[in-house]
Parts: sequence; C-alpha cells; structure tokens
Amino acid sequence: MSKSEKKIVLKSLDNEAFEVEKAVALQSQTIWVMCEDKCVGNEIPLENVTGQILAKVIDYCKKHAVVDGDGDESSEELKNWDTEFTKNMDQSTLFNMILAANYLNIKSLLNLTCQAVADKTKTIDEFHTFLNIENNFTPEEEAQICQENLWAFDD
Amino acid sequence: MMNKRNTVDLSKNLLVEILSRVPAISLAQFRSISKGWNALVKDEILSKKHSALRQSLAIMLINFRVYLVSVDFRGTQENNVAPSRKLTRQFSLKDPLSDSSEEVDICNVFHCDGLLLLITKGGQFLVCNPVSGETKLSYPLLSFDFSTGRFQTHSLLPHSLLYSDAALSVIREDKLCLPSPNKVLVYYDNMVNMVPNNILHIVGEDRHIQVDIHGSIRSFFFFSFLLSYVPTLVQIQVCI
Repeated sequence: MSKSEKKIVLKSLDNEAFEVEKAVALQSQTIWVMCEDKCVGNEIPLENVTGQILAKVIDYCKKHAVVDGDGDESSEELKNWDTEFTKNMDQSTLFNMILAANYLNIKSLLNLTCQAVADKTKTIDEFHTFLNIENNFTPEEEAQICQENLWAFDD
Repeated sequence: MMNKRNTVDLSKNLLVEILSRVPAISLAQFRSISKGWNALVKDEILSKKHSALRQSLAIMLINFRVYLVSVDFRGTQENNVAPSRKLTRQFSLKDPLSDSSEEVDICNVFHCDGLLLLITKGGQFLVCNPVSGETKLSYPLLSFDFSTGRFQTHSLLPHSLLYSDAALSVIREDKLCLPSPNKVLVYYDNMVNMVPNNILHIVGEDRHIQVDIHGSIRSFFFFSFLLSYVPTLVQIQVCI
C-alpha cells in the first residue's frame, strides 16, 4: 500500500478538511462502509459534523487506534484518558459529540459521551437549555405530575 | 447539529441511550419536563435498557402515609451519637380507580425491585412504581382447591398477612428459580380463617404456587415499618 492510500481526508460541514490515517478513520462504521462500497474517493464529506466537533472525534479515534494497534497503554490509562477527554467539555459540545458519534457510528464514543451527559446533567433546566423540548402539559397535568414526583426532589 | 435556538434535537434512541445511564430517582424528576418525557420514563424500552447504579433509600409507614426517610450516619462513630433520621417526602398515593385527588390510607407496605405493594385500609392491594408514577390495583388472589374443584378467594384482610422483603429476596434469588422475577408477587399468609398455616404464595402472571414452608424460614419474618427502597424503572405487570 502506498503512503497516499493509507491517508484519508475527512471534510466537515463547514468545509474544514482533516487528513487522517485510514486506520484512525475506519473506527467509524459509517466511514468504513463508505470506503468498503468505494462510493467515495479519498475525500469523505461529513455533512452532519462541524469542524470543531470533528477535530475532537478525530482526537478520540487517534488515541483509541494507537492503543488498539500496539497495546502500549493499559486499559486503565485509556479509561483515564477518556475521563479527561470529556471532563472539560461543556454540555453543548457533549450533546453534539453524541450526535456525531451516532452519525459516524462509533459505539465506544457514543457510550462515553452518553455516560458523560448522564453524569453531568442533573437538573431539568439543563435539559431544557440544550434540548429542543417544549413543556406541553396543561397547568392541571403539570400540577399533578409535580405532586406525584415531589418525593424525588431534595429539600 | 445545532439549530436556530442553539439546541440539539435527539432521537428517541439517543435519549434512551442517555437516560438509561441516569439514576431512577432523577428520572422521576424528569417526568415533568414534557408529555414525551413523562411517557419515556414509563417506556418499556428504557425500562429494559436502564443500567444506572441503583441507589438504596429507606421508606417508612407513619399514620397511613408512606414517607421517604433519610438516615444520617455522619459523626456517629467519632461522637458516639445515634444516627439521625429525617422524614423527607411523602409519596403521593391515589386510588387508581377513582378520580378523587384524596390520598389513600395505607396500612401496610412492602418493597420488591422498585415496586411497592401497598395494602389500603379498605383491604385493597395496590402495586405502585413511584418513579413512573404508575399505580395499579391488584385483585384478590385466587387459588384452586382440588378437593372441591373450585376457585377460592383468599382472605386478604391486612391483619392476616405478614410479609417480609428479606424473605422475599431469599426466596427469589436462592430457593426457587422463577422464570421472570419482575412479574412475581410473593406473600406470606400465616392465618387463613383464623387457622394458622405456613403457606407462602407465589403469584405470577399465569400461575399461583403455594409453598408450605413448615416454619423453616420463619426467622426471616419480622414486621418493620422501615423498609429499604431502591427506585427502578421496573414496569408493573400484575394481571391476576
């Protein structure tokens, strides 16, 4: 395999191009299928992911490709790296990482980011802020639910 | 992808992925977000996928009401003080067959896998999952009498029942292999028509097994108003 065949270019929604090792990109099942079907050239357009998010996804894939390849790092170290990776991400980034991991079909990244959101998002307001949810209860219905779930709230 | 309001739209599958990792007690709070979220907390898919760590809480029956109790052990060892107990919130329990907003009087409560079995003052059996807010009426238990060839209804007067979740878990996990423990109710009937017996009733969706325990696990039976309660998303499936 020549050097150029080992590289692949990923292009984000906002036209940012990232050249990565094929082994790194192929952790995405979506990209793997695209390459397998030969329906794309050396450049793969990813219409649902911004450059900012794609850069983070690539960081994740690079880290996990290296470890899978040579086994230098223990799974413990990798776990710590994963924790650090999501620790400082804000909620908005995390939600967009979930969408990207889902679109690119990278199961381990989806698990990691879903867990991070579940751990970080504690209040109803946080979900309202980041997800497009309309409170469609009538005042009576809302009052009833609030009475039913009152026990679950701290004082 | 970000939309105009700077929020993201997640599909139901992705929401389930996230919420399956959220503790059940938080999900109880999230019911008031919207109709869709309220339905999702009761959803079978989320119930089956839910894998968050289970928190152990305590409940207590006082004056016919069920309360969540928090026990504070801080400082008990160093300062030699008794653990302090604090009543936090009352569970809201209504008669599922009535539109009345009045609370039902409860005179006995048992817990199994996130479901509460409640016996009302009127002798009704209610099964309730406080997380989803679902309450269902459980009908009086029937057993088949082979000598007469007839079904008979058991007396379900509260005073004739003794029940222990400790015994229940022993039986569920070690003694009997029940195909689907979530769908099973177990109760101990120590008196039928004022005649003592030691029959354990195991009631599932389509069967009713009676086990004579010969007093062998009697030591497990004790009556306590302080019970452990572990919120879960287990769905109520009582069709007796």
